[in-house]
This record gives sequence, C-alpha cells and structure tokens, in this order.
Amino acid sequence: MGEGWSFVAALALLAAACQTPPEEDWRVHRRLPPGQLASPEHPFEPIPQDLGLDPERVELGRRLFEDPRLSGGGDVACVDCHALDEGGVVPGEARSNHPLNETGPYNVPTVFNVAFNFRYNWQGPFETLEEHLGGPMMNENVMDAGSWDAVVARLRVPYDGAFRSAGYPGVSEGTLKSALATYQRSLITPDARFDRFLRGEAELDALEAEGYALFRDVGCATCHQGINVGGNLYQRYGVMADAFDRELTERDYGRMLITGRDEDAHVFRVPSLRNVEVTAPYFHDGSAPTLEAAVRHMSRVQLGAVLDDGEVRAIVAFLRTLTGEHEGVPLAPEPP
Amino acid sequence: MTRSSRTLGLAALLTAVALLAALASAWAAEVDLDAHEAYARALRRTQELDARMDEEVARSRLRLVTHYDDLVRVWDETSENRAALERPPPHLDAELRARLMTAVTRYGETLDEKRALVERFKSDQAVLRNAMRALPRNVARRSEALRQVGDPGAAEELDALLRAVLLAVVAPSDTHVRAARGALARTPPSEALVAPHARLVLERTERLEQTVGRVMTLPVSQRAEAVREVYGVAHAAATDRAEARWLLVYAFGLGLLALGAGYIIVRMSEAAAALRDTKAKLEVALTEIELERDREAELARLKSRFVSMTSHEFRTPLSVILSSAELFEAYGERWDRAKRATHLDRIQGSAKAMSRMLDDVLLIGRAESGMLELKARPLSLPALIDSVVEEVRAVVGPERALEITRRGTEAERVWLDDKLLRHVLTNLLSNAFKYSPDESAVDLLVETDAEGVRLEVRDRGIGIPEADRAHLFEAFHRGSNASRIPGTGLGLAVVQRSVEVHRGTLEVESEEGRGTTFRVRVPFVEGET
Repeated sequence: MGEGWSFVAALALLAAACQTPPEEDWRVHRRLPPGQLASPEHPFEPIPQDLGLDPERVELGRRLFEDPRLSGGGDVACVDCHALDEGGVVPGEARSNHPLNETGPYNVPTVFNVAFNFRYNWQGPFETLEEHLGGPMMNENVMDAGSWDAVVARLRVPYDGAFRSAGYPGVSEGTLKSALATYQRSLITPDARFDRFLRGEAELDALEAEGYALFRDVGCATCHQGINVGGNLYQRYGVMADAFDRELTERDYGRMLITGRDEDAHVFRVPSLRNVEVTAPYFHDGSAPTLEAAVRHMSRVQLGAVLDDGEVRAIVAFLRTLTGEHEGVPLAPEPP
Repeated sequence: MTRSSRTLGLAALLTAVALLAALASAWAAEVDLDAHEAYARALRRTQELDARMDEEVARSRLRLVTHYDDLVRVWDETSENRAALERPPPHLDAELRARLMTAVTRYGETLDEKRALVERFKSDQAVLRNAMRALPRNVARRSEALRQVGDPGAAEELDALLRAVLLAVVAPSDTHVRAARGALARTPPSEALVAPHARLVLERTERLEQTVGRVMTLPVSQRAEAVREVYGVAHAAATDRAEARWLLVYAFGLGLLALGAGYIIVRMSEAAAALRDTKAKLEVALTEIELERDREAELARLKSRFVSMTSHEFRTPLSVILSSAELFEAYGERWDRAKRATHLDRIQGSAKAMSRMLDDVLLIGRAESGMLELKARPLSLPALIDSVVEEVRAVVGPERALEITRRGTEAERVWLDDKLLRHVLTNLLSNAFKYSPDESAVDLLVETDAEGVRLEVRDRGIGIPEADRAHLFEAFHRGSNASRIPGTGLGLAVVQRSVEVHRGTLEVESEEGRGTTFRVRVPFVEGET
C-alpha cells in the first residue's frame, strides 16, 4: 500500500516538475479595428467608441503614466509631456520640451489615438507602443530612466499589489510596458464631428464641406487618410519643393537616421491630423505655429499647390471637425 | 517470502523506477499539440497574408484615392504571425530548431525587405496620385492662360506634354516614355505648376512599376515554404521521438504489469504451497493421532483379552490348589504321609504352573505393548545352552533322549540377551519332549558363526495340523490334536515374541503324526561380539 502511495506521489512530483511556466509575452499586437468605411469617396474611418481593453490594466497604466518615479531623477512623468487636457502634447511648445529639458529635438506627437498609428515617433522606428516606451524613457534628455531593471526595482514595492490585482504576475519590464501601452491605447477620441458625419449622424457646414472637398481634391487626403487621418505611411517632407528655409540639423533627416538609406532623407511618419486643432505647434520641428501656416506650408511643399486665403480657411475649418472627445469631454471647446 | 518472489519484487521496483524515468523523459519530449496547432496555423497564414499583401498593393496601385489602413491591417497580422513563427513549439529538437530559426530569420529578412518596398510604394503612390490629379488640372489652367495671352503654341506644347505623359503612364513602352521625357525636356522651367508634376508622374510611375515588380517577385512565399518544410521535418522528428519514448513507457509499464502479476502469482503459489505443507503436516499429525489411538485401542483390546484368557487359564490350577487345600483342611489330619505329599505336590505344582504362566503372560504382554527390550550382555553360549538343557532334563526326566549337535565357532563370549534366549530354547525343548512319545528322541542343533546362532529343535511327535499353523504363535492357542496334553498355549507365543525382540527369525516345519522342526536364528547383538 505504502509503495502505491509513494508511486502516486512520485508521479505527482514529476508532473509538477514538468510543468514549466509558459513564456510570458505581454505584447498586445497593435491591430487597427475592422474597417467600417473605406470608399474612394471617403477614404476615412470613424474611431470606435471602445477598444475593449481591460479597465484594471488601463487604470494601472494611468497611475504609471502619471508617476514620476518612472524617470531616473524621479521628477518626470509621461504625462508631463503628454498633457491630456492639452491635446496630449506639451501645450504651446515646439519641442519635446519638458520644462527641465528645453532643448529636446522633436516636437512632441500627441498621445491621443496612438492605437491607430502604424509606427511611433517621427522617424517611425518603433512598431509597437511597447517598443516605443523605451525611446522616451531611456532617452537621457527625456526621462533618463536608466534601465528597465532599474525602473522595475523602483516600482516593485509600490506597485506589486496593483499589478497582481490587474492580473499580472508582478512588476517586470514586460508587465510595465504592457500596462503603460494598454493605457495609451485607451486614449482614443471618438465622436469628432467628422466621425459623426462619416456615420451619417451630423452634417458639415458649408465652409467645412468646402474644406473637406479641397482636402481631398488638393491631395491632402492622399497621405492623411484612414482611421487616423494619417499615421499609416511614411512620406518625404518636401515632395514638390524644399521644405526647409533654414539650415538643416540632424533631426531633419528623419527616417534616414534609422535606415541609413539616402532615399529616406527627410522622410517622416505622416502624423495623424486628429485633434490637430489642439496640438499646435506643427511639424517635427514645431515650425508651424498655426493650422493656417501648416496648411499653407504643406500644400506648397508637398502638393505644389498654392492655396488662397479662402481655401486655407476652409481646410482649417474642416480640420477643426477632427477634434474628438476623450471620456466624453471634447478636447476643444465647441465654438460658440 | 521466497527468493523468487523477492527477486520479482525487486525487479518490479526497478522497473517502476525505470518507468518513472521513461515517463519523465516522455513528458519532456511530449509534443505540445496546442503549440503545434498554433504554429501550423501561423505557417499556413504566411502564404495567405503574403497573397493579401500583394493584393492590397495591387489594389492601391489601381485606386484613384489612396487608403492604407487595409495594408496596415495586413502588416499587423503579418507581424503578429511572424512573431508566432519566431516562437516555435518547445518540443523541437535543438538542432532542427536552430535550422528552423534560420529559415524563420531568412523569411523575416525577406519580409523586412518587402515591407520597406511596400512603404516606399505607399509614399510614391501617394505622390503619384497627387501629381496625376494636379497635372491635367494645372495643364488645363496654364493652357487656358497661355491662350488668353495669345501663345497657343506654348499651350499646345503643354497639352502635348500632358498627352505624352499620360500615354507613358497608361502604356509604359520605351517609345512612349522617351517621347514623354522629350516633351518634358522641351517644357520651359518657368512652367512651375506643370513641369514638376509631369516629372514626378514620369519618375514615380517608373519607380512604382519597379517597386511593385520587386514586391511581387520577392521570394517571401518561398521562404515561408522553406520554414514550413523545416518545421515539418522538425515536428516529425519530435513526434517520432515522443512516440519512441512513449513506447518505452508502455514497454516498462507492461513489464511492470507482468512483473507485478508474476510477483502476485508467485506469492500466491507460495501461499498455496505453504497451505499444502501445513495441510500435509496436519494430516501426518492426524494420522499419528489415529495410529496412537489405534495402538491404544489395540492395547486395550490385548489387555482385556489377556485378562479374559489368563483368568480362564488360571482357573484350572487355582481350582486344583483350592480343592487340594480344602481336602487337606478337611482330611489332612487323617491322611497318611504319602497322600499328604501328593496334595502338597499338586498345590505346589499348580502354583508353579501359575507362576510360569504369569511370567509368560507378562512377557507376551510386555512384547505386545512394545515394552520388552533387548538387554544383551556378553556370555558363553555353550554354558547357556548347557544350563537350559540341564533345567529341561530336570523337568522331563533323565529317561528322555536328547541328541545335541554343536557346529561352528566356539562362541564363548557373545552378546546376547540370555533371558530371551532361555525362553526360546526352554519352550522349544519342553514342547518337543511334551508332544512326542517318551521313547522318541529330540534333536538339538546349535550352529554358530560370526553373526549369530542357529538353533534347530526336532521332535518325532504328533506334529501340528495344517489348520493350526496360522494361529501357531497366538497366545493361548493350542493345536487341535494337543487337547489331551496339558498346556497353556503360551509357549510358542513367548518363543515368537522373544525371537522377534532379538531381531531373529523363526521357522517351523511340521507333519502331523511325524514330528515338528523349529528353526531359530538369532543374531549376536551387532558390534558387541
């Protein structure tokens, strides 16, 4: 009898020993929501109301996003450069200019609707938000977090419980990235007037409609299309004319810095135009302070078109219909 | 527990350990079917995704309006699928896994190449679409203006340029492309709204054709197929290995079952043997008990027979004694000396007879109850025989003839039980005289050798009837022709028991009316002669 039990016990032990924990992969593959509206006439798609993300992980990511302990000096949080009440960017600043770091090289892209971008950063080196996190966090001029091990060591004690209750096995590089990326994916701005127009729920006024027609006819919509009105291809900055009326610096070479290929010089990720009304200044170098300036510059250097003031005003009016709501609150106050 | 069951038990234990080891190795080599399914699915998807990618590129190429979300979706799925390919199931052999990873890496490299081409396609396609839309519009606008300022020739030139460019785009033959380039070269640089767009259309069309051509011919699907082939080999190897290990497990399991069954069978047969053994012992014990009981019953029977027989045989001398004693009491004073002497003799004779009879009965009883023992001592055989002959002569009278013949060794010092031998010889000689006529002689032959002595007593008397021979040595049995001769029927029984106790043999040869011969052989007690 005793032999029988010891045999069963040995089997159980053996089975337990063979059960190695599965390799963890917290990466959520970025996947655009299924297209709802993609016609030659309207090459755009409205933003869905909800991406179905785990609310506990979103909330955990929010805490991390606001926690300066992620940075090496304990003084910079993600939210410092991505102010949610300021369009997800640094308000009014031309650079990734955290207050402590005024010489950051790039204009900060908004954190809103990053779920729908096909690459991250201006040069597009990162394919996922999880990968992208290492960029600003490990950048000495941004968060200077040191290393992921260091970040994990700083956050393990204060966050262990929160990670476990969010269904993670604990604080690790993978789970930190997962929580932060999940939160950033949740930052979508549905219900822009343009989306409601696409869904047939609202009308554009005459100026906006003229702007929308120009937007497509002039050729803006050739690159700024899709669910994010941009954000799904690379394009050369200055197709029809030299985009720079100044001396070039390293940052102006764009994607060439990543690929090392001459043909990628001045090639950037086409930014999304969603909420563009509240994310001034514009371009990678923040050289356009207003939407009008940006529209003029873009039509000239990208499309070889010279627009008159009325056309510019119409296009800008259309661009303002791209401003959505975050958690039910419009990113810009409705015009009176 | 016997040696064989211990060996079996030990073998079973060792097999169990081997079974556990085999199980562990089988588990380690176990094919993760879920992982395999997922991987096979990813492999199947590579082709489908690549086809969708090509299809999306082709569709975008032909679209009038660009829209890249669908391409992005295909890329998303391709990336996801590629990540799945980079995590093959854990059960693959290390070497084949390395080969697989090499194939996956090559597939990934081609995929990266394709992706870069597709990105370039997306950018160029956007630019081309815009230029294609801007060029006719701008040409029309400029021609109109030129005609208004009275320069229809220049306007014609611009229209010709547009036609040449569009022809080169729609039918990109060398002639058409050369013609378009020629027209573009003739366009004055002042036409800033036309020339750059025309150049872009020509350049990007050519580049796009190249790009699309490369996109479509990149060996992505071949590389994916290579991955699939390597994986097929690796998976088959893993499956074979797992099967082999499970076979080992089954083999050990069967061995364990067989050994276990053998162990149980051996233990059971051991138990059965032990049971049989115990039963046999029990039966022996029972038999002994029965024999003992039988012996006791026989003893009881013998005792009661002795009592009944002896009591009967004792009556005769007792009645003689009693009557003589009574007569003596009543008339003794008046009897003369001779008569008194007669009655006293009768009393003494009867008492002596009773005493002898009692001795004989006791001897027979002791012999039959196994209590008569052989008590040898060294003695002179001739002296013993002389002494017996003397005694017998004293009883039968000097007138009876006894021929004694002696043969063989001297036997002056041999180991014998003199009491038993005395009983034998006395009774045989007495009977010989008693059952033969007074005038006939009795022969005694004494022959000795190294082992023992042979005695032969021959008479020429009445003989023993055939019918009595079977009961010759039973106590109290007397020959049917001897009833008129007084006797107890104990003599020959005593002889027989004595010879038996002395481990000798007794033979009788007799003819009724002619005489009887008894032959006795008694061995000297071994090793003590």
